Parts: sequence; structure tokens; C-alpha cells
Amino acid sequence: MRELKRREVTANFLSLALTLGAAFFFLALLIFLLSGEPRRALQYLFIGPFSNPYYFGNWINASVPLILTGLGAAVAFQASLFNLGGEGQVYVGGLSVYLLSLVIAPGAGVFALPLLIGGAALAGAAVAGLSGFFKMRWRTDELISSFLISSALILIVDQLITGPFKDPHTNLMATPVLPRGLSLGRIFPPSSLNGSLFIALALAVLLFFYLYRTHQGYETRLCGVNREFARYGGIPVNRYFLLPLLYSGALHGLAGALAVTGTYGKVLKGFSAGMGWNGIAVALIARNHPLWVIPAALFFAFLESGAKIAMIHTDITLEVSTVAQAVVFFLITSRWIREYFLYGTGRQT
Amino acid sequence: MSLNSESGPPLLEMRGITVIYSHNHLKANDGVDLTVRDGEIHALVGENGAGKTTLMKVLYGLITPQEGEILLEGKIHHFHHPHEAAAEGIGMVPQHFEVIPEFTVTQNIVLGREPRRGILYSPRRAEAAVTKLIKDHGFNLDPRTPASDLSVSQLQQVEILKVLYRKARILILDEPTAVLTEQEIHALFDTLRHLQSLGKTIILITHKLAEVMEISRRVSVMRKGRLEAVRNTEETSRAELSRLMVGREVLFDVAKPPRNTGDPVYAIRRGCVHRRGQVKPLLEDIDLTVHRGEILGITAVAGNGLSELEDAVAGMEPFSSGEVRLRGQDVAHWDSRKLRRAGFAYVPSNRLHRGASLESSVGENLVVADHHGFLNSWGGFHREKTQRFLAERLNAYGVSAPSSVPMGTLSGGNIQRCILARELSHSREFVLFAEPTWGLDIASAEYVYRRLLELRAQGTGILMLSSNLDEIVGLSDTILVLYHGRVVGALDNRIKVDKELVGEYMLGVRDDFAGECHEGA
Repeated sequence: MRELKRREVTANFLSLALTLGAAFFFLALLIFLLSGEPRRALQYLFIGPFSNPYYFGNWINASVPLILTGLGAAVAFQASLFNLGGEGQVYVGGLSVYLLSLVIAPGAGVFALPLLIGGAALAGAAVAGLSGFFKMRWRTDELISSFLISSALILIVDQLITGPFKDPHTNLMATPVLPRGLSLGRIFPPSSLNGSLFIALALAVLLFFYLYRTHQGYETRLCGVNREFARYGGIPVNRYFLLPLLYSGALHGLAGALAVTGTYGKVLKGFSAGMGWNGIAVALIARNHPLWVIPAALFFAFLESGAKIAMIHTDITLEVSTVAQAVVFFLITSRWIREYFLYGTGRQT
Repeated sequence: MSLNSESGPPLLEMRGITVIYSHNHLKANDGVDLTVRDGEIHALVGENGAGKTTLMKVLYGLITPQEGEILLEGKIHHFHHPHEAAAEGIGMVPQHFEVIPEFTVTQNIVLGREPRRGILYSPRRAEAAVTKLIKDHGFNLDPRTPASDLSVSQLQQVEILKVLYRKARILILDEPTAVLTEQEIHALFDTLRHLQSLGKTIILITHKLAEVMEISRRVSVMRKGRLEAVRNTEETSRAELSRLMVGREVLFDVAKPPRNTGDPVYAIRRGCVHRRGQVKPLLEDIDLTVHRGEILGITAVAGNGLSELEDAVAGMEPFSSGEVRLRGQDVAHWDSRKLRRAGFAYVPSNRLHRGASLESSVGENLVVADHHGFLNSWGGFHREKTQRFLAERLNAYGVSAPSSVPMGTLSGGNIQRCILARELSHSREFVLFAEPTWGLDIASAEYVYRRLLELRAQGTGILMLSSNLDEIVGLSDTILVLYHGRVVGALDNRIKVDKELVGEYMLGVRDDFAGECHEGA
């Protein structure tokens, strides 16, 4: 049995290494095919994020929303629920910050910022919770409902940002800048890395304790692996259609709020694009373990940051990183690789 | 019984078969030699996990062994796929039937090898072929009946016909009697003897020794992945076979002290289960009472309401009407959660899905339903308290596995021990057992029986739902039989009743239920 455990750890590690290796390989291959100066492009891609404090800070900062959306996806997955509405929940969280800032004056002092962020988390929770409620009440498939609700909300938020709440003094498709005092402090100038990093890290640790040390976490995970057994054991399984989605939505809302208050200072049209989907990939790489979400998010952000830097300095386009991320997504979702290392080629019966 | 001469060459020989499962390095077969002669009924016996099924999977090509070879009439074959084994006339009748309910008998039998006219399926030829097949082999089936209208034993006949349709000469039957009543078993054995007279060779996987003695000509005993012995059935005995199977003497009759029945602890009055859109209720007017210190055994053929009764009593699918009292409290509309909170203990028939979560650790499996008892001040688990509880439980029930490994890595017997350890962690006044030894080997089953009788001696009221007649007759104080969702018979089992009699109730031949017997008799 110990042997089995060891094999499993090895299999997990090998399949992960292979996946990440393949992602880098495809990235390099694409660059050789597409770039006129592949050596320089590769150099910027891989070393770029480490080359100066600005790039380094921005890389770490880019991983912050991914940590949060990764945690959000993971908490739902742990209860074997699918929250495919991450994109919309992040976006709604971001807009909520702006809307709340209109009501809560900066004069509210130290409470203003926590109120904004907390309100955004609640908004995200409400959006995802709607799918959870439908599931609880009518067994509506949350995979479909969360996706549809989110897709509709994205269009609505787009409309609000470019319409009634658009900053009239700029050509940018964005809301006006938040008042001073309603943003998180930069901690690594000149990069945009800010205090949201600590919030994300703290939440990863908190979620780990919640899932693996508390009573509710235990019930959540049991519902995830075997709902029949959970029901047999007297666990209120209906509650766990809703609760994990509430947490998931809150984390997504938070991701949006922190991106707005920490990085952008305003709500840009489409700022949330990719955050939700990449969060799912991050959770899958981390096998839904909250602590592993951190390195997984750093890796994903590295691919993107590296490609951005290479794009500035050489002739490649940002899309190559999208392709690499897609390769990761593809490989990580194929269970075959892990099972190959776990069981060998033997047929399963 | 013997029809063929001893001198015939072995039809089938398996030599030095070794199978090591790669995911757990378990040597499921360790150099097994099996010889089966032409035209014999050969019993393959052994406890669960002895390697019988693995050996048969090798024979029909589902598993490729690491070592060893298969000889048919002296010629070496290597099967890599069931198609290859089928082409050589080897067919498997599975334990769990694989029929399509919407298809007729004919359609099920020809599926995958349909007679054609040009490129089109020819229903007429198919029906002609199946009709002939049924007649030639002495079955009694209408080829046009949809499979959903068939009884369990008829479904089994369809499975056997499927194999015969593919021109099998060696038939492997995996635990064929597990789902049948006494009468149906007799009918099956008649069929097998008839097939034998037609020149078929039959390998019968079983762990019921009475059946081995009755039907087989020779018997191979497997134990812990090895072939322990081969005997001519005439020259051996049940006692010897069971010794060979488990390596020590086994008590066949569980010593059961006379009952000392107390007050009623659990009672159902006019319990009904209706499903929406169905005219006939699944359970109709169930009346029963379980007293302290009593084992009330309920049996039925599959599909007659036993599993619905289990779900209703356990609150998984509660009764639609009727009155249910647990220690005097009305619990008719309670779900599993409320019952659990009230200390209801339940060992389910579906152990691997409902009774245990195989992916969760042993520890996580053991604390469920009780986990509120391990809270510390901030809503987390009290580690020390939990660890102490787990160590004590595992020790008391003789499970040597650490509590951190996944439940799925344990053997079936140990999983059942863990379930018992959990369900009996407090003193209980009433416990529901459903199929308590289904699929367990003799040693594990015996362990479960001992625990059951211990509980009974302590004055616990026990409701045991089981399709295993041996344990129903062996353990129950009172026996109820369900047929078509109704109680058709109540038997006082103080003097052991005849299994055949219970079988007649199970098949609906007898129906004379008039109130509860221990109130009337």
C-alpha cells in the first residue's frame, strides 16, 4: 500500500513534468517556425521575466488573479461541481468595486477598501450561488447554468462599462479611475505588484485548512468523491450543491476586485478575459489542492509574461503563449498520461 | 454421472499461469496449472481473492498472463482478446448479466454476430437460428420476449444461449447460482447436465460447496493465487474442500444460543413505497416488528422489493405511506440524515459505493456519521481524539491497514470490517444489515456472523435483509419472505425451517401470510 502511494506520487510528478515539458517544447517549436530571430525570442521568453524588477514583479502580479480563480475552480471541483462561469464572476466582481465606490465615499477611511473588496466577493458568490441554488432546487446542471449566466453577464458588464459608466475624459473603454485611497499599495515598484499577493497567498493557506482540517471541508470532499456515501453517512448533501459554489464565486469575485483595486485602478473592458478559464487549468494542474495552486498559477503566468516580453523585444506575437497554454490544458485534462505512469500499459479491468 | 472415459486427452490445459497486477503488484495467479477434461463439469472453488476469476479471465483472453501457456487439445494458444478465445470455442457466462432490456431474447443473443441478408440484418434468420438453438439445448424461452420481462434465471439462460450461439464448447460460469432460488438452482443444474450430455465442457466458478458436491465431476481448489489441490468429487467431502480452501476447519453451523427476546424496538405498519408514474407499488403493506435480542431475517429473489425495503428503512428513499417506529418514535418521514443523528446504524448491501468511499482514506471512512463528535473549538477535527478513536476501532475489528491509506486498497473482507467498526462504534439498540456477507470469503463471513450473534446476545434488535438463504436460515429467529413487494410468508425459525420451503415462498408458490407469526404463533 505504501508502494502504491509512492507510485502515485511518482506518476503525478512524471505526468506533470511531461506536461510542462511539452508546453515549453511546443512554445519553442512555434518560435522556431514563426520567428525570424528565434534565439533572441527564446531568450526573452525564458529569461525575460527574471531580467529586471519590472518584468519580475509583473510576472508575479499576473499570477495573483490566477491563484484566486484557481482556488475558486478547485473548491468547486473538490465537491465535484463545475463552475464554468469564472469569467463572468471575475468581471462582475470588478464592476462591483466601481459601483460600490460610487456609494462608499473614500471618507469611510480604513473600512472603505475592505468593504469594496468584500462587496465584490459577495457579488461573485451571488452569481455562482445562483447556479448552486438551481442545482439544489431542480438539479439543473451547474456546468451549463454557470456558463450561460456568466456569458450573459459579460455582455451586460461590457455594455455598462462602455455606456453609462464610461469615463468621458478618455478614449479608453473603461470606467473612471477609482478615487485615491481606494487602491492597494504597490509593493515592488516600478512593477504593478501590490498587496493583493498577500491576500491570495493567505487565502490559499486558508482554503487548505478549510478543506483538509475542518468539518465542512471534510463533508465537502466526501460529497465530491462519493455523494451516495455522504448521504448514507448523514451529511446534508443538498447543502453542498450550494456552499462550494458560493465559495467559488466569492473567490472569482475577489480576483476581479483585487485586479481592479490593485493593478488597473479602474474597470477596463474585457480585463477578466482568460482569468476564469485559466483558473480552471491552474486547478487541474494543481489537482485541486489549494497549496499547489500557487506554483501552478506562477507557471501559467510565466508563460504569458515571457511571451509578452518576447513580443515587445522581438517579432513574435502573443498568441504563441496562448497556444502553449492550450497545450497544457489539453495534456492536463487527458487522464491517460497519468494512468500510463501509474499502471503501465496494462489493460484495466 | 460420468459420461466420458478417463483416458481421453485433456481438452484444456493451463500451465504455470502467473498474473501479477501492475497497479498493486499482487500475484493474483502464481504458477497455476489447471487441467479440464473433455465433457466434464469441473468446479473451480476458492475464497474471494483466491484467483479464480483472474484465472478464468486469462482463459478467455481478457488478461494476458506474464507467464504460462494455454493448451487446447495439446496445441498452444495465446489469447490477447476475448474474440480470440471465443473463436476457439471458449465462452464466459458472466455473474452480472449483460443484456439490453429493450431487446428481445433473439436480439440479445445475436447481438454482435447478427445473421445478415446482403448487408442488412435479417430478423427472420435470427429468430430461426435462436429458436433452433433454444430447442436443441432444451431451454424453455420465447425468442420474442423482451429481456425486461424475463426473470433472473431466464436472463441467465439468455447469457448461456449467447455463449452457445457463438459455438462455445467450453462454458465458464461465474458464480451462476448466486442470484437463484433453490428451485432455480435445480433447474440450472438440469440444464448443465443436459449440456454436458451434448458434449459441452463446463467450468463452474463457485464457493458453495454443496453445489460442487452435487454437480461437478472434478474439483480444483485455489487458495491465495495457487492451485491447492485437484480432487475427484466422489472421493472428497465438503469438510475436506473447505479445509483446502481456507486452510483450517470451518464451522458450518453457527452455534446460536436460544433467543431471549425483549420489547419491540423497531416496527413498520402498512409500509408502502410508490414511485411516481407507476401503478403497482414497489412495497405494499409491509408489517414487521423487530424485538430486542432478535434477528429478523427478510429474504426475496432479486426484484421483489428487498432493495426497496433497504432504502426505505435506511431513509435513503423513505416510505411513501405507513407508520414506522424506532424506539417508540415515529420516524416514517425521516431521511438518512435525521436517522443518523438519532444513532441509526446501517450496514448497506452496496458496500463499495454506499457503505464506503473507496477514494477516501480509511480514517475518513470511519468517522462519517460520527464526525460531529470530533470537533474542536474552531470547527476543525480534533486530531488526537480522532487518531485515538481510529486506532481503537481498527484494532477492535482486526484491520491491520493504517488509517491513512485509501479504502479502495483494502480487501472486500477488510472493507466490511471497517464498515462494521464504524456502524457498531456505539452500543446500538437497532441495526439494519443488508446482504452482510455478499461476496465475502468464508473466513470473513464467519467473522460477520459472530459479530451479529454478539449483538443479538447484547439485546440489540437486528433487521437482516439477505438473499443468501443459508444465512437467513442459519441466523434468523424469524423469517419473512417478500414476493412482488408483499410479505407472503412468515416463518418461526426456532427450529430451523427447510430451505426448500423458504424457496417456495420466494417463488410465489406459497402465499399464506396472515399477520406476524410471532404474534400469532
